[in-house]
Formats: sequence, structure tokens, C-alpha cells
Amino acid sequence: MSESVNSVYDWQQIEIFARQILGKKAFRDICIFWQDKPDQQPNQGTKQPMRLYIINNGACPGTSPSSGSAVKCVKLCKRAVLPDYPKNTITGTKKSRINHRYCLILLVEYENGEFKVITLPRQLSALGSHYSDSVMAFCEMINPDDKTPIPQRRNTADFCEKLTLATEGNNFSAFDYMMTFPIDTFEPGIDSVDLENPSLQSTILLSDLRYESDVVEPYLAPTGDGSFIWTTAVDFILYENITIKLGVDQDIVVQGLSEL
Amino acid sequence: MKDFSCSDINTGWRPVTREDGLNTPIGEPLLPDDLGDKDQGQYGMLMVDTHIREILRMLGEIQREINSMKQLMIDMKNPGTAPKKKKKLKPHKNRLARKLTI
Repeated sequence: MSESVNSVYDWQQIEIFARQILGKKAFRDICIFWQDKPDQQPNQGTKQPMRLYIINNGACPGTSPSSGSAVKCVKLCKRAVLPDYPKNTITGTKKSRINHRYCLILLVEYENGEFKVITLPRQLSALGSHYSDSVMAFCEMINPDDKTPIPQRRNTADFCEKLTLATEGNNFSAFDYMMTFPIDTFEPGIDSVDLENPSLQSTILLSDLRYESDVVEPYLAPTGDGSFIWTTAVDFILYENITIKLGVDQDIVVQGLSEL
Repeated sequence: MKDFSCSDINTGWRPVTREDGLNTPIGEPLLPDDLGDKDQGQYGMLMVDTHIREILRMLGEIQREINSMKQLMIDMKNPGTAPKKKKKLKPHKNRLARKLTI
């Protein structure tokens, strides 16, 4: 035997610190920005693109308003995720919940060649509500009467999704997407003892963000007090992959030789 | 469908938040899922019931462990003592026991 090969008698006890992945779940092509299809049973909604009514360039509210310049196309500039999000919660009913808060920054091109950047939901308001200069678009997920968000929901047997708006004072600060699913869908299955482990940790990966935007039609939107403003209806939808892993820290002792 | 070129977002490893009524973070709802108003009371009861049942089960296990430890200590002190024979049941009690097991 050559000298470079060490005998097992030279081996020593080495302690290694590692993170053991207990379970993993990957959700592909998850729609995180949608609105429920009307005429559906409550909580059984089918997802369809969110209809945004973007105010035309140069349009002003009035009883017989000027149409302004319609929207030609809408592009996603940035999706800004709020600090500390997305986050994971293990619920008392042995479910895992992912909370995801984000803002959308859209680049809007108008027929007259003008461009504008709009931030949603900060510049979003309810269809039919009072118009203010900061509003750039309307949608149907805000109640025009009390300005509260109307949650969009999709529930199947053991998988729940909800999209609503997070508020900050009187403003909408972010879209709040929530997904709840049973712990036993993790692969491999996670033992209940491991779930109680105080050092249990999670990591969430958001990847492959995609969107669809379609300019639909001009729309004369009500702005309250009998006045209207010309907008362009645009359908917008977002998809992405969400992967979550649960793990614990482990001290592992092995027999071997360190290269150092 | 338009691909949007942005980097993936990885939160990194973070301690898991637990929502068990004992460790609910401030500002977070106590209830885990989308329960209606009517279900909330029932859910609270269910949670308490589940916890009590689990605590009782664990107490039972601890009691059994203590008993077996006590027995072990007694056996170690008196190594010669064999376990006591079971008292023979009287004939009518024996018949009753047999009936109950059927």
C-alpha cells in the first residue's frame, strides 16, 4: 500500500454541521395575480386575468369627458417584494401557509406615444369611487363604498389561495397573496415530531416570473358624483414557480480524515 | 405569455413561524385558515380540545414510565422476590369476566 493512502487507523472523529432537508414542495405555474370569475359559488372561483381600467393619457373626469389617448400596451417593469416576504407559517391544523406581498410597477405606453410608470396597488382605486389625481387605474377588487379590498379566493379540497390588498394607513401598500396547503404534501413526508422541532426552518424560492397583458377595449369608468373618465380595460395576470423547503440543523459525526 | 427577466427571489433559511395560539406573531391572525365567523368558535374549542388530549396522553405515558421505574427499583432492591402470583378469581367472578370478554 502506498504512503498516500491513509489507513483506517488514522481516521479521526469529525463533527460536521449540516442542514437536513426534511421536506420539499414545488408549485409550478402558480397564478398569483388574478380575479375571480363572476357567477361562481363563493370560495370556488375560477381564476381569470385581473381587469385593470387604466386612465387614458390626458383624460379628465366630467359629465361628458374627453377621451384622451388610449393605452397601446402595458409591460411589467418590476415586481417589488416587500421586506421579510414571502414567509412561511405552520398552522395549528397541520398546514403550511405561504404569505407573499408585492407591488407591481408597470410601464404604460399610450397611442399618442407617451409613456407613464404606474405603481400598483398604490395608484389603484375602486371602480365608481371618487377620483383623485394620484389614481392611475381602477379595478373590481376594491369595494367602491368603503374602499375595502374584496378578497379573491380559490379553494379546493385541501388547497386554499387568497389574493387581497395590504393596507398602510389609508393607502394600499401591496398585493397580499396567500397559499395554504397540508403539511403531508411535502416530499418526503415530515414526521410530526420533526414539525415540533424548535429549530425548524424554512426557505422559499420564487422563480420564473411570467405575465400576460392584453389591451381589451376603451371603457368609460364612473368616478362618483355622476361624472366619468375614459379608461382602457387591460387584462393582466402573473404566474411564477414557488418552492418551499423545511429543514433542521444537524450536527453529524463521521469517521475520516480532514484535508486541512 | 411574456417572460420577465428578473432574478429569482430566495428568502434564505428562516425560523418557521408557528400559529398554535401560544406563539402567534403580533399582527398575524390567530386563525390559520380561511374560516368563516361561525367556524371560529368551533375552531377555538377544537384547538383547546386537541391540546388537552395531547397533554393527557403525555401525562399518561409519564405516569406509566414512573410506575415501571418504581417497579424496577423494587426489583433491584429485592432481587430474590419473584413477581406475585395473580390472585385466582372466585368462580362467579371468573364467569362474569368471561361473559364480559365475549
